[in-house]
Amino acid sequence: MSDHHHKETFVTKYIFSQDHKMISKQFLVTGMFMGIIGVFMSMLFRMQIAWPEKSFSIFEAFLGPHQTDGIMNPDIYLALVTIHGTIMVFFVLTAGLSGTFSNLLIPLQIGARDMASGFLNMISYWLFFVSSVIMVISLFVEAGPASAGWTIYPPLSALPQAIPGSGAGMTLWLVSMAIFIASSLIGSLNYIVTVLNLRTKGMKMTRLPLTMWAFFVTAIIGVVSFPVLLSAALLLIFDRSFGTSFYLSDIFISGEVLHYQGGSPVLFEHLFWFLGHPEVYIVLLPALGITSKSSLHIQENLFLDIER
Amino acid sequence: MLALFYIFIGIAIGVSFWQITRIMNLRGVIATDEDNAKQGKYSLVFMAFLYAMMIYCLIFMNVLMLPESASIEGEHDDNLFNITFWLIGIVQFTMQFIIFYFTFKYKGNKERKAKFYADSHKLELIWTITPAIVLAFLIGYGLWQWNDVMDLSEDKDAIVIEVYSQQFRWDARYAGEDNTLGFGNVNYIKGINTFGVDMSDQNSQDDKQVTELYLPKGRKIHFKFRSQDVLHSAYMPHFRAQMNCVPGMVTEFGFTPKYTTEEMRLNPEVIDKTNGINKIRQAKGEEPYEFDYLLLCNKICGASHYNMQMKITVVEQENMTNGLQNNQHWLPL
Repeated sequence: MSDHHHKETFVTKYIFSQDHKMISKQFLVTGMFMGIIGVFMSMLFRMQIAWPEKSFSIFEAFLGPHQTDGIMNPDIYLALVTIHGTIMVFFVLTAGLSGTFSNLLIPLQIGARDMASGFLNMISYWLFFVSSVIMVISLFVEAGPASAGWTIYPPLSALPQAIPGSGAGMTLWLVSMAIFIASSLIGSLNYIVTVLNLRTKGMKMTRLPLTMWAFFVTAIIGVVSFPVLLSAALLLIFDRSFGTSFYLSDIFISGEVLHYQGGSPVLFEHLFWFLGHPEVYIVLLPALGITSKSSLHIQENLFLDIER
Repeated sequence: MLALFYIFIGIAIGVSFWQITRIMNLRGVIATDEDNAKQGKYSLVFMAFLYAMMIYCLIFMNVLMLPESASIEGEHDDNLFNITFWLIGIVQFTMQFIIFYFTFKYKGNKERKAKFYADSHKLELIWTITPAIVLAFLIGYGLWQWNDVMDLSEDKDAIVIEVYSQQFRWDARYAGEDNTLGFGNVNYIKGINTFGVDMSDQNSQDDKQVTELYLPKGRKIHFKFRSQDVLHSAYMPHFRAQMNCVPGMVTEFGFTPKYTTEEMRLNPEVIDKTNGINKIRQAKGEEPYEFDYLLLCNKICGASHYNMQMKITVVEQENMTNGLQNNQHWLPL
């Protein structure tokens, strides 16, 4: 938020900006960039599955050691599917959509000058940027990126001996997602506080446009469900690196019985999908909110009768 | 075919760039009546295209659907699917027409002002309660169906078979005359005991391990699923059966096969599919295909997940012999 006594440098205006409009543009550009990467990956694996026996020079160009004479290796197929899913669901549809439109529209449609905390808004974007960078870096790990599907169920995602991508690639995925969740939570809290506290005089909750209600409810769902994914990821980190048995029990792999006892993969499934189901509403509601305003032939006020 | 794909991608990228640059130009311009009239016409054209695609897919993609359910319990799955699809289909065709036609009919122009419509309690109630009732019915039916395949406490006549999954193969273990499986756990895996069966357990003495499943028609099968290493999933599409195989626990599922493999091979839908597949195979100079029931892995389990399959053959009950013999079909009396 710029104050006319405060001189803005290039860095404070365009890079570490705290203005909600600039931050929404930053989210948009990063989201679009990640989207292009995700779409490109989907092209690669769709070409593979549509024409399984055909050799493609584009695979030779982009997949390096993970292909032989233009034919994709099986584990990089799973890796492409995994990273495509992760990028699209989280980086494009959650951060890219919510980050862009909530930041841009909330202050404008409630009559506020900016978001409640410009500083936290900026932090939310830069954490998203850092998590994107780490996710892209995970693509270039020698054994391959995370390959257990975007739902990364253990034991496949917990044991490097089960699939190569569950080594360093999976570790980087978890780090990237932990930072992403932090970004998402900070952003959602910001939206909630702004909608509750910074509405202009006369803007009662029932007079809010439907778009605002959509973004508001999306943010609430986000703060309730993303921490559970973080806990799932944290317990997975413990199982992978500290020998715990939250998700693992009675496993025989690579010729030996592993030491894990007493855990269950079903615990991870529950924790993951506690986010996973609300996540699809986090993705959907902003879009519904935006389109509710795009109808030319009718103007509607949902709560008007409460006013009378 | 591939060339077409590349051309399509090229066009899609080109159009995206063009549209994005156009958005920059449009910032200072508000749509004229001419623009609205054009867009209105495009809405109708798109609606025609959408209807054509929907009808084409519904009719011509039917060949890709599975043939009728090969299990008795699976008939309800197909029922649920059909009812849901009819309901959704009617709503879809109606709604798409309403959306695009009204966009055309009430396109913006200088004379017309948008109507301010406050709200309608009655409408809101109708379109909340009707879907709620429909959903309640669909979910209720689904819940009943779930119990039908999962609650196996009542079935005393069911044959117990264990399906054992590992990276990257399926095996099965018949329970033998006592119809009880010996206890299995990975800690017992040693040498020839690849399933980890506790050989000191009385019940394991008559267990028989196989690599191909033979199921009797008309008898309920009580499956118990185990996994050795990571999550797998036993997916038997023709029987409408799927159950995750979780390391560290035993999961269950039950169904009754309805048609033998031979009978299924004479099913008209299956004959159609087989002919279609064999046309392609003949053109490539490959072996002809003959229908077989399959068990597929349905949870990502590693590099060869796509190839993890087991053949299932359903035979008449009298063709499954008794006693420990060399052949693979084995069934308790």
